[in-house]
This record gives sequence, C-alpha cells and structure tokens, in this order.
Amino acid sequence: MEDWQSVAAIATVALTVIIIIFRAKNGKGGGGCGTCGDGGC
Amino acid sequence: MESSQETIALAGNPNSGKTTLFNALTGSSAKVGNYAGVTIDLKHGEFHTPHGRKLTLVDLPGCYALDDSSPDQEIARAVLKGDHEKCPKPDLVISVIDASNLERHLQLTLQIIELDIPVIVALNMVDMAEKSGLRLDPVKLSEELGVPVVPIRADKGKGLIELKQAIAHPLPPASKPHWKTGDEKDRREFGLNVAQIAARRPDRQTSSSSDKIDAIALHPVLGWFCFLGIMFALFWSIFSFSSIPMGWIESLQELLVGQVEGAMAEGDFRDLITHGIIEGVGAVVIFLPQILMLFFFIGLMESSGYMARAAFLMDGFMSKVGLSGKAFLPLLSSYACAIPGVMATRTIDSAKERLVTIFVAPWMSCSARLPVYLLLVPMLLGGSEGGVTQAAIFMAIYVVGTLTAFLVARILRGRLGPDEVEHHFMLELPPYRLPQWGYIFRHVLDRGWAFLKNAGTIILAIMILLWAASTYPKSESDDPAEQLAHTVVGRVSAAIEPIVKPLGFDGRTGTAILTSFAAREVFVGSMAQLFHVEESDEETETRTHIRERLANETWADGSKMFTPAAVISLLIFYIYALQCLPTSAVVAREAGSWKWAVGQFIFMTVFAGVASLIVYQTITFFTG
Ligand SMILES: Nc1nc2c(ncn2[C@@H]2O[C@H](COP(=O)(O)OP(=O)(O)OP(=O)(O)O)[C@@H](O)[C@H]2O)c(=O)[nH]1
Ligand SMILES: [Mg+2]
Repeated sequence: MEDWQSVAAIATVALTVIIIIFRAKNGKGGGGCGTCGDGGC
Repeated sequence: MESSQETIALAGNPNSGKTTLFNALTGSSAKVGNYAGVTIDLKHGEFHTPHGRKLTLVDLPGCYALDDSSPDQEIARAVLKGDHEKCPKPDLVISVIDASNLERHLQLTLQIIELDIPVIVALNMVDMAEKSGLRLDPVKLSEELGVPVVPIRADKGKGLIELKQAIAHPLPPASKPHWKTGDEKDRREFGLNVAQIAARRPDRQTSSSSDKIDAIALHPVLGWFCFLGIMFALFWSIFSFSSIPMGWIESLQELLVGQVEGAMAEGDFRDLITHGIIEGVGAVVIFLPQILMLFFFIGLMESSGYMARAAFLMDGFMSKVGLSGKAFLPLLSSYACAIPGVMATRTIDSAKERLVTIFVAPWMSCSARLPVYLLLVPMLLGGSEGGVTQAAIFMAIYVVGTLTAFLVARILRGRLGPDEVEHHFMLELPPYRLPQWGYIFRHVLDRGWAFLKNAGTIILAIMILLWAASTYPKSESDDPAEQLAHTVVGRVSAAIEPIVKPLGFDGRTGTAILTSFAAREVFVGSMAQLFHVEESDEETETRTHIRERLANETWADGSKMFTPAAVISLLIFYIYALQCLPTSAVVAREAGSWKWAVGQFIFMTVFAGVASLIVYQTITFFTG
C-alpha cells in the first residue's frame, strides 16, 4: 500500500519538473508576481 | 490582424476618455483612471460598424501636442505619423476631446487634421461640460472644423451608435484645414475662436464641488492629514475587514485536508497532497481577500481623481529629492505591482528622472509582499489579528520602504547630473469623478483571478518541489527532525544557517527566503511547509495556525526563535529585497540596459541583507 504512494509522489514531482523545463524552453518561465495586470505583464 | 482591415486610432489629450471609449466599443477592460498618463502603450481591439464591417481600433497614450517628448507620447505621435513599426498608419482618427476643456483639447485635433488623415471628433464628457454650465454646439463645431463631430458620454456608452454611424464607408476624405497649416500662432488663434463659438461660457462662474474638496485635499496642512488619514483607513480595513473571508478559506482548507486524510492511507502521496500542496498553496491563497481589498482601494484612488491630488501634494517633497510630482504616480502604482509602475515611468519627460524612478520603484511595497507582511506583523503583538496598532505597524512598513526609496533617489539623482534640457512639470488635476463601478469590479476580479492562477501554477510547482526537497532522500530514522536533516532541504538549511543566523533566522527560514526569490508570496507557503514537518507524525495534532506554530518554535537551546527582533529583521528583508524576476526583465527593457537591472537586483538584495543584519544586531544588543 505504501508503495504506490511513493511511486505516485515521485511521479508528480517528476511531472512538475518536466513541465517547468518545458515552459522555460518556450520562454514562459520566470513566472511572475501574477497580481499585476495591465500592459506587457 | 489582417492588413486589409482598416485601422482606426483613438487620439486625444491625456485623461480625455480614450480608453473608456475603447473599452465601450471593443468590450475590453483596458486600464482607465482619472489622471493623466494611464495608457502608456498601444492597445489593439476590434469592433463592428452598424453595417457589420469589422475594424481594428487602436487606443493610444494621451498627448498634448505632436511634438511632446516623453516616451509614451512619442508612441502616439509615431502612430499618427505612420512611423510606428507595430501599427500601420491609421485610416481614420477618432479625436477624443473633453468638451469641458475645448480650447486646450482642440489644439491636438487641429494638428491631427494637418496630418491629412480623415478625422472624426468624439466630443466626450458632455455631462461634465453641461454641469459646468457650458452651452455646446456640436453642429457649429463640425462646420468650423470641417469634420464630423459626435457628442458622446463614453463612461455611460451614450452616443456610440451615432459615432459608429459616422464612420461611413468608404471612409471620408481628409478635410482641408481652415487655417494656415504649420503656422502655430494661426492654429492657436483659430482653435480659441472655434472653442468660443462652439462652447459658450456661462455668464457667471461658480466654484465647482471639485474646487471645494480641493480646498481641503490640497491644503498645505489639512491636505496631509487627509492623505495620511486615507492611507491609514486603507491599511486598517485591509487588516480588519478581511478576517471573515479569510476564515472561510481556512475552513475550506481544513475540510479538504480532512477529506483527503479520510480517503487515503498514510503515505508519501497523501503527505504531498495535504502538507505539500493544500497547506503550502493554501497558506498563500488565504490572503486573497486582502489582495482584493488593496486593489479595490487603489482602483478607487485612481478613478476618483485623488491619485493626482496625492501626487500634487507630494510635489514639494519630491522636488527636494530631485524628482517631480509626476514621478509619484508611477511610484503609487508600484504599491500594486512594480511592473506597471516601472512601465508608467514612460510618462516622465526627463530621461534621468525616469531612470531614477525605475530604480527605486521596487521599494514601494507591492501586493506580493502583502501575504508576508500579514503573516509576520501580528506575530509582533502576540498573535491576535486586527486592531489599530497592527494597522499602524503595517503602514509604517510601507513608509519605511518609501522613505528609503526617496533617499536613494536623491543620491542617485545627484550623481546622474542635471538634465540637458529643462523640463516643465505639468500635472493635471482632473475634476473628481464617481468611479466606474463596473470597471473597478471587473478590474479587482481580474487581479484576484491572476493571483489565484499564479497560486495554481507557479506556487503549486514550487510547493511540490519544496515538498520533494524536504522529503528526499529518506533516512532510516524515525525522528522527524533527523529525517529532515537528511533531506535536501535539511542539508541546504545546515549550509546556509551560519550565513542567515546573524540576521536572526534559522536554516529553514533561510531556505524559505531562498524559495521566495521565485515569487515573494511563496515565502508564506514555504514557511507553512518547513515548519510543519516535525509535528507531522502526531495523528492527534490539532491543525494549528501557521502563526502559532512559528510562535512556539525554539532554537536548539530552547530560546524562542521568532522574537520581535527576528520578525522585524524578516520584515526589513522583505521591504528591501528585489525578489521578482519579471520586474527585473521589465526594468531591463524600459531602462534599455541589462546592467541597470542587474545592478538594481544586486544593490537591493545586498541592501536588504545588510539592513536586516544591522537591525537584528542592534535590537538584540539593546534587549539582550
Ligand atoms: N463624467 C464623465 N467621465 C468620463 C467620461 N468618459 C470618461 N470619463 C472618465 O474620465 C477618466 C479618464 O478616462 P480614460 O479613459 O482613462 O482616459 P484616457 O484618455 O484613456 O487617459 P490616458 O490614457 O491617461 O491618456 C476616467 O475616470 C473615466 O471614468 C464621460 O463621458 N463623462
Ligand atoms: Mg487611456
């Protein structure tokens, strides 16, 4: 029972890393404060 | 955008209502505000004429004349002259005029007519003009100018159908100027004459309600009381009114954790979901009500016209640090976020003043710092929330950041030397207006949504990574503290503890600070995660608020970890540190140099560290 949880947790983490790398490659990295809005942000 | 589609540009003096009209025609929600210089870049949109023809509409920054020098006005000029790389020369210009200020606003219209582009005049704010007793004669105005004139009220959407109908197909030819083209004196006289004929003044001038309010709001003594009073009300309400919705978010979070724990057996995945994600992200999301509140207040100030008064009030003070009152507007916007603030410096004519303003803008505490402050401030006063003292401390944080910004601006401005060209500071004081409630509502929701989206993407990702880093590699030990020490976070913490300890922080707080270089509000989530691990084994544990957990935290020798000195030191760090990559990117673009952005980042971060160190050491020295 414990085992599938470890696998799922590691898979989630790996997926996150892949998404971050993918987005960084597409120039979408950096993120943002997110709260600012208008204009170029 | 298809090139075959005709382009119509909205041009006019600042604050004449161009963007309001743009929003009304295209259904967008571009930023509007009751002060000059809100729009600082092109905005594209589309709309249909009554005959179903699709047209491209471009909203321009406001400008007073076609030879203005600030960067935002240059954009408008370039578009009108057909020199802008991103926008074709418009096929028609809608010249938006404030009807209550005809003489002044007509000058730009006349200049645009001289450019040989077809023009339609949108005579906006007819309500204001009529209220001040002006008798408008649009027909006469149209005859004199030789172009169609349509009276409108952009904020209520009145006259839009007539305006659309005036955009006949094919577009009307450009009209012939009725004055000597290129002769500024002749143009000016012509404009004054036309204004007198088309808008007849009332026989008796009465003082308007705006004048009456300004007698207090701009009073050299009372004005400051007013300003500080408004600011204090803002901070106090952020503290007290939002505790109710915060409670809801907290309960929801607890409910979710309970559900997950009920449905899943104990294990890594459950731990990731509950402690990593729900508590980490939740610790940030819980501050949504306050963020909304802050944006609501800033929206109110912007749209009522008080923003311009605040800048006016600050003008004398600003000139002492070598900036003009105009620079205060971008700085005020930076309280929401430094990015639009930095962009808004485009309205500043003097290039050097602009650089200085860009440099110090990130020290105006932005909304991303709000969660950090809101977490820490109540810890100074024993944990309870709300109350006047906390609001006062909260306000003091903003004042400290702002004053240091002015100090650095002064030093920097002195070093850059005087301007090559004299610039005349011109700050318009628009009449007070009732806010466009619909717009404010939409704007606040947009910002709230952006905050949540950020929490659901970037913060979520960081929380997952942080969870992994504080879980792996696993050790054989059963003791949570030893387990943590074995993980990546444990090792990083141990490595940086000697560096951050003189500032009053342990390794975990240091790690939380490191994660917040991705986004400041991450700090709150990281703290929630990192100061949880030790208790995580106790099933009976009642989920205590993160603040209580921190308050009970101790050093190895049993002494309290988050003493007032440590909390103040943390606050100081967050006031000064520049932990926002997007801001640095925008600074590099707007200042036109990476060096400026990198220099700013290093300077601010080092400054933050040194200031924390000095403050912590001084306080502990005196309190023992
Ligand atoms: N009373 C009244 N107010 C209006 C009308 N149209 C716009 N406003 C207000 O005028 C102010 C300025 O509107 P904006 O659309 O931001 O003006 P702008 O011309 O885009 O300004 P800049 O971008 O700074 O050049 C806002 O407070 C609007 O609510 C109108 O017809 N009547
Ligand atoms: Mg505008």
